[in-house]
Amino acid sequence: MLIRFELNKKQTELEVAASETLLDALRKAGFWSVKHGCETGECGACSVLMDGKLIPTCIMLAAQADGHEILTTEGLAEGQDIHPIQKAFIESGAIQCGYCTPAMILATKALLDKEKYPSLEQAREALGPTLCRCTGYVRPLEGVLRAAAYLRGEEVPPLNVKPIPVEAVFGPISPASGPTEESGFEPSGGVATTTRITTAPTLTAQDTTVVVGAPETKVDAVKLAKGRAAFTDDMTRPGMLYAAMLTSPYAHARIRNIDTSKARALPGVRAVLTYKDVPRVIYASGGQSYPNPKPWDQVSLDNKVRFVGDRVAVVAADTLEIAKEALKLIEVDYEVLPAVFDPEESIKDGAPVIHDEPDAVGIYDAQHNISATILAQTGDVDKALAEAEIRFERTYRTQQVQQSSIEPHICITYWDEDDRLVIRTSTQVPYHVRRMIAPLIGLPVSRIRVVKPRIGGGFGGKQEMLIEDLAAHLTIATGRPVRLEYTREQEFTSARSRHPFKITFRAGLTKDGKLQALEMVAIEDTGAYGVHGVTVCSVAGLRGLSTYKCENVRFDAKIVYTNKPVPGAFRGYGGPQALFALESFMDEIAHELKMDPIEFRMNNVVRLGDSIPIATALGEGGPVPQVIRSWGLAECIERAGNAINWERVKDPQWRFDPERPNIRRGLGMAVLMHGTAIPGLDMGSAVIKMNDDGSFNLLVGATDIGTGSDTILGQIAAETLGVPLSKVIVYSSDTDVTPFDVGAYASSTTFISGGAVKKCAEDVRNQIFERAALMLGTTTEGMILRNERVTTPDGRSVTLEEIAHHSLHTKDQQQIMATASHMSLQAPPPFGAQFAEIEVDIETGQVTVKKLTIAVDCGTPINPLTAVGQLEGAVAQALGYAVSEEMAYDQSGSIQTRRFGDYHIFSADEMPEIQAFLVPTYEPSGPYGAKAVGEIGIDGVAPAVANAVYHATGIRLRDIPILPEKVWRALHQSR
Amino acid sequence: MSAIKEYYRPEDWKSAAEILGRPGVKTAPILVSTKPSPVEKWDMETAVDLSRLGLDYIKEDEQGIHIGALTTVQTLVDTPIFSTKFNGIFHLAAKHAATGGLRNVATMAGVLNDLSGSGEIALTLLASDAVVYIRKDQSIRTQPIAGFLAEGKQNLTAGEVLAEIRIPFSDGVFALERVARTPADQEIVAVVVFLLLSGSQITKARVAISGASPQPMRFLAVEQALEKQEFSSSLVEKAAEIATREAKPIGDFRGSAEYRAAMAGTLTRRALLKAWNLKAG
Repeated sequence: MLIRFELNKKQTELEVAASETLLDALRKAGFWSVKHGCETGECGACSVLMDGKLIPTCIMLAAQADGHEILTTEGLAEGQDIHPIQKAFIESGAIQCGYCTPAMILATKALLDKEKYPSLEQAREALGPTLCRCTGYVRPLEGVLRAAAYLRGEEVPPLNVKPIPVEAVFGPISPASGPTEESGFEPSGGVATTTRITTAPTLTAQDTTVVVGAPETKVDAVKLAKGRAAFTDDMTRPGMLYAAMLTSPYAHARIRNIDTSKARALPGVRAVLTYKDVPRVIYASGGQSYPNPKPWDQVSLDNKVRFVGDRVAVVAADTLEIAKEALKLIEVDYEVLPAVFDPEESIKDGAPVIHDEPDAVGIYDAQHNISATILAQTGDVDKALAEAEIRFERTYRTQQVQQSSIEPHICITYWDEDDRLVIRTSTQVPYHVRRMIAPLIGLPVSRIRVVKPRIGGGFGGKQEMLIEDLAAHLTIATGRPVRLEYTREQEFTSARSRHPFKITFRAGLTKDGKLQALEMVAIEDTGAYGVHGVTVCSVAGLRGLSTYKCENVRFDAKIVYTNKPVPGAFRGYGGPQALFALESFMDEIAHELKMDPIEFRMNNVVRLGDSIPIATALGEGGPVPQVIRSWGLAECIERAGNAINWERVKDPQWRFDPERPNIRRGLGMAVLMHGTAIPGLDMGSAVIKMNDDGSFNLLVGATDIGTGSDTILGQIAAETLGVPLSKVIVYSSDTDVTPFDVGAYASSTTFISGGAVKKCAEDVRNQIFERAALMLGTTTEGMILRNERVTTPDGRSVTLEEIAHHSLHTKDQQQIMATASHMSLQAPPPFGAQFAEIEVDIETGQVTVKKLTIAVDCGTPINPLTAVGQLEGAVAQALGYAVSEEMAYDQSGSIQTRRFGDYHIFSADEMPEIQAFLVPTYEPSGPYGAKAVGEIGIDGVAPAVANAVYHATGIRLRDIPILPEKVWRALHQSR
Repeated sequence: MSAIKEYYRPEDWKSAAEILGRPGVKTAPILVSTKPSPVEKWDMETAVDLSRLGLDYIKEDEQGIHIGALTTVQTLVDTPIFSTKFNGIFHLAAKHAATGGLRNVATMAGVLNDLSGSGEIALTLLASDAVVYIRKDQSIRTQPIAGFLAEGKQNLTAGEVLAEIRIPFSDGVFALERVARTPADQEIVAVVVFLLLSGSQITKARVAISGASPQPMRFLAVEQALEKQEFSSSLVEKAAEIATREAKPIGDFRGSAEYRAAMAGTLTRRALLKAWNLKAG
């Protein structure tokens, strides 16, 4: 049927099917800013303005738009023009992955069309319909208010961020070597910390950086703000087929037979694949370095299913509708098997054996569903516990939660003109995907190209080869391009999630509260497959046993199979589970000892110069000894504590509200310590080449998943090369073009990939100096590269453009370019402090988080705006982890929370106030003193809230999420 | 895959009745609730868009407030009368029902067609003794909201359309109480009470609860215990006990049956006290 409507102020006709959604019709017509995030209107990514109102288009028929006015983000500003709202969002750091940005911008327009002077509350209401998993909404709200000022015609000042003083030398000689000396480094606005800084011996030091430390706008912000075709699905290919996946309705079953004849006979169906059709190649789907950690317990399609949502078959057809119709015609003969969902039941004799296949590799004890075990110890824990003056033991439990990136898993596979398979995919690990998929599909790595466009959020969920193998099998079977995308429901049933843990801590202390022994015993539920299980667990052990100084530590863990959807990587990677337990435990001990919880922690916490004993026995890539070389924890506690007005914790009356007798107020805190990269394992690399105009191409394998890593790496290159960021053109994550990088995980990109970029830029800078010396008839001695110009000590100079022309066209022609790789045996931990202010309704148990403050020492923040954005977004995710999010199941193992409305991630209109602070230190092993910031923010909200609930009510919640009913029950039990 | 093969947007009631009343074709109006199913799961073969029938309105007269059935939930949030009258419970209930975007497409008819995400809106209608108007061509009939909700989709015969909801004015006082995982999450349990008082005597009481039974409903035993009684703390406690006792909740991931039953009582107590205080204030 033909519909006529005004689309972006132009009369438009579209031919649509009666059943077609407006979302599909608009995307089919090339309006890529309208995004698919769910099918139930609950995420808002698909929103447009219809007659001036924000509406989700996934739950509207296209036909309903007939006669209406529709505005998409493409209609805000044409060509290279920028609408003031887009400008405000770009400047305020409101854009991370950018997937929900077009909808947020339209929501802002709808508000500002009605209200010139919006309040913060109105801004929160306006952004309420658009779920964002990246930002925590803080920067987008600033974007709304900034946009309002622009539209009122006001002068809007630039963001006020001070330059970061970095004691680094920008000279040509041995920039990374030289004597090491003690130096007092005064971070802006903070107290002095003593750091060990490496400085070069010569030349004029630049006391502040120019690009590093500046709140540069993201290099991808404009295209994201304008809703341009930047994501995996924002394209189509001639002859492209649409794939759909059949999943198991049973938690545990053997497939006696599959009859696909009816499905294959359906007109438009081009391929139906089951375990009968693809080679049986054992693998592990986690996107990790070679060789993937064992167990290898998966195959692309199996004759056994191990959870509700497990793969059964996959179909490619001319349309998605036909593909889904074909799924209904596949006849599966299941032999339903007993299932087990509790890891402690799963390891018992007689429990159903989940992996009884003979060809799995590296399962520790398949008969007892034990995927792997870890035992790591330093010192003599038993002796220290036995001799301790005081002993404590507590058990904590954490739940399974889902990454909930707004962009679902999506990939498009096709043969290129050279018969090489191109995999365009939303992945955090393009190089791992290329390596891992090769044996599954029977192609050499050399015939596979993986391209990662912009990603609509990852958070670990896309550190996985989750769907690429199925799409590739279909392309190989049909010879045609294939698009495979998860529905939102499949994101919950068939994607990855966070491992649930049961953690028991035992501690031995002296009477005055000094830790003598600390033991952490963990049972990790790895679901139906072992992917990421052992490495997440090792990180949990590291995180749980690193923060506090103790020579006698032990980690004893079992990683256990159950018939549940498979956990994997999720921001924090074992850290949030461990820190909920650890920081609750520390709080409990402090209160038992009648000590101030902060004082108790500070009496035991690791400090500058301390080693981390457990790192000698445990590590994701193997044990690597670690020493703390930068440490800003004390100031973090001070900054975040002051921001929440921690002093109120000492006022017993503050807990009560005379106007609301059912309310108790509470404050809680947690100390944070995370890791930076996997020492000795993670590697990144970079290529930089100089162009005619003195600009540079920076090619990196590093994967920007919305965090801003392209921008940060560009800033490191720009700083080193003395150019503005605009002169660095960043291209990332294309296995044919960019050099290797392990990908975006383990808080490694700034540190590892940034280290590679800095090395690479330094090499290029040296070549520039040599060329300048040639041009000026001098030596490189004493040259300075700054403001796009090389200057000699006697004041002569040449511009980078002149150097480029000379090198490319004039004499001794040479492409100035370099490549560099970087790995590190250091994994410098960022430190931080998380505080929470909450209210507990003692009649209903409802916990309302009023305010969250966090301060983090991430070394030098390369870009303070994106760094703060990482913290704010992580805190928002952590809030859901603390109080509401949980993958819930029925008795048959079928997930109940299959849509955003039921799973519920926090929206802008219900967020507590978040304040995030950076406490700069100088990490000597990091580029320009940087260490990680991407994950640490997710570690502390749950324990801080649990500790605040204790402060408010005297009840201790040892399992999360802290749902109203749990608090209510605990309150009743305590009476 | 959606079953929809045809789409109609009738211009008048006669056409609407004809299309909706066609035998042998699975025909239904497009009604979006605050917790909508994906379009591919809509099971009608013919989708009927009623937007040309002029059902998007809010009118006020001496009978009360008339809400056109295709009035969006957001309109309830935005229309001042719902903030100023009925002690603001319609505004609050509508705001709790969904995000702003969904509220812009979800209609009152959609809400009453699928109560799964709009328990609090249903409570406000139950507590206010709302009446629904059902129309087929020129024929109109009415039904009290409680009966309409109790009978569900069976209410409408072929060709009939829910056309309007009327909320009568009242001198009484309303109060809404809820508990949820987060401020914007769907309620675990919510209670709306209405009290008409003569001095301290309760002459009329309505107590409607969601999350404590398979669908939002009035708790008649609680109402009977309250009516013709002097308002007192012991009466409130008694009402709360009855609410807990009468609750027949279904537990889920938001809260167990036991918790829901307890909250039915707790929130009933709170709502009654709040209403009393509002009256006093």
